[in-house]
Amino acid sequence: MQTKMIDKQWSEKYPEVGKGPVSTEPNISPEYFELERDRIFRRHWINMGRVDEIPSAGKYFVRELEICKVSILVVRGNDDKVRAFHNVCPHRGNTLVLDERGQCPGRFGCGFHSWAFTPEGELAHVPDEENFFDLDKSKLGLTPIHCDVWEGFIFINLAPEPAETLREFLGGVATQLDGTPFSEMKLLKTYKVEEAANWKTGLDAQNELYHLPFQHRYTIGNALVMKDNKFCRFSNVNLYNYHSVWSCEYNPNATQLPTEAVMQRVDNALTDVRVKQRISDFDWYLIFPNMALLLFNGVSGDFFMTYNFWPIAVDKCVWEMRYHFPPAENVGQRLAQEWTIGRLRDTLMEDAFQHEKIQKGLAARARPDMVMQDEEITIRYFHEVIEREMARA
Amino acid sequence: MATTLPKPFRDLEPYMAWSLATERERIAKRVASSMDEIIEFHGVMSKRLEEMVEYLNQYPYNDMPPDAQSLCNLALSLVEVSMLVEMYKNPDNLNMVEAERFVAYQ
Repeated sequence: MQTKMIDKQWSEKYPEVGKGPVSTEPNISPEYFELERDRIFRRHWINMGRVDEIPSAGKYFVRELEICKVSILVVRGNDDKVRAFHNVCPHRGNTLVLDERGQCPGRFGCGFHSWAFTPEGELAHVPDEENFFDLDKSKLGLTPIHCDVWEGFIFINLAPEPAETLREFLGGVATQLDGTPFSEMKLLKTYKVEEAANWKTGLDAQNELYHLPFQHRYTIGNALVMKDNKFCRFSNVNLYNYHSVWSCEYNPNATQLPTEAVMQRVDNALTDVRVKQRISDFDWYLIFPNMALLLFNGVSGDFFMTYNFWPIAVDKCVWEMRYHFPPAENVGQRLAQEWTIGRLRDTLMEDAFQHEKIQKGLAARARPDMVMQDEEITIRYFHEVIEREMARA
Repeated sequence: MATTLPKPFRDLEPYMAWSLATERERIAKRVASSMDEIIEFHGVMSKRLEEMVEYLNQYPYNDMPPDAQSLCNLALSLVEVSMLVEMYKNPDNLNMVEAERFVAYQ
């Protein structure tokens, strides 16, 4: 076992991170939420999805970034480049694309007056063009949004000029995960749940394992809780400029469930996708501000998940969960993946329940702060980064 | 969807109500069923699961004949209820959001 049961080891590794109580105000204040729009979500790189979702020219998806009241069209051009645009017709402001995803049939046509745009965002056709005044089509393309891709993850930045490149923003996370074979693991399942909780309340609750032996005792606790690590302490923690990662080991002596045992026998795929960038059996990255990236050591190949917590209101968010697995070679492997998805899904349904109960408790203002232990350092650090970014006028 | 199962599995036909094509339907069935019904279904299917997978492995997951697809859907329902029977045992113990709030895509 790599996990060392040393008390307060992470604060020793990162002494600059505080130890005192953490204010509840950012999770419950409507004024704070309003400021987050400009200082967090309009200023930093935000994950939209993966390039695998739009594998060929003209494929597109639309994201509603509700906190910023912006609809974003992400599309792969005929030149293979992935771009993001405001999903708005430059003529008179109509929403251009109404479908959540699809294939552009050569042109995006506006439903209002049939102005037509190429997948690269250029204005291609205006009906009755002669009747406009000095119309310069080259200046009336779709309004671009800064867009960049790292290891297949598409990010956008709504700042007029982003303060840093995506690469600079990702910093140590990119260094750690460069070359990870993400594209060999395909999106198999997406869940969304609308929660009566602040987006940070959900993210905070996921950002530790201290709750695992208790809240998840019937679902997944057994897989990680060990005799000599009964509180699921981390085997490693890294903090980066904006982001963080914690890692843990599986319990090698976990009692196998009957169906789990069958699944392991029938899951006999020949290919074995492995992520050598994994720090331990399970790595949980917080990618600032609202994304988590989870890497798992899987039975027949590694797999990964992403979470995106989409803010809607101070006490409302949508939690989006995506599972990516190596493509199944046979029915046995696929069923084993469905079993893994199902077990985690039930665990996450417990989490979603808890997020709402926590939000209710915080909003009651019974206390002005939350108390956190050493294993909650990544939550504490996330709140420090939020406060730091909010303080930038 | 076929109303029959492949020949070696015809004895499982009394459980065809569990042969459901989508996760949403399987969750709804799990929620609507009594624990006794779930335990019975789980008991019968568990004994045949390995044999079912061996049979199904002759087909690609996304392109099976209708009777094999019906069998595969039974296996997926077993996966759906297996946590309930093997881990929590009593669904009333659980503090979870209602399954219908968890919207699945794909």
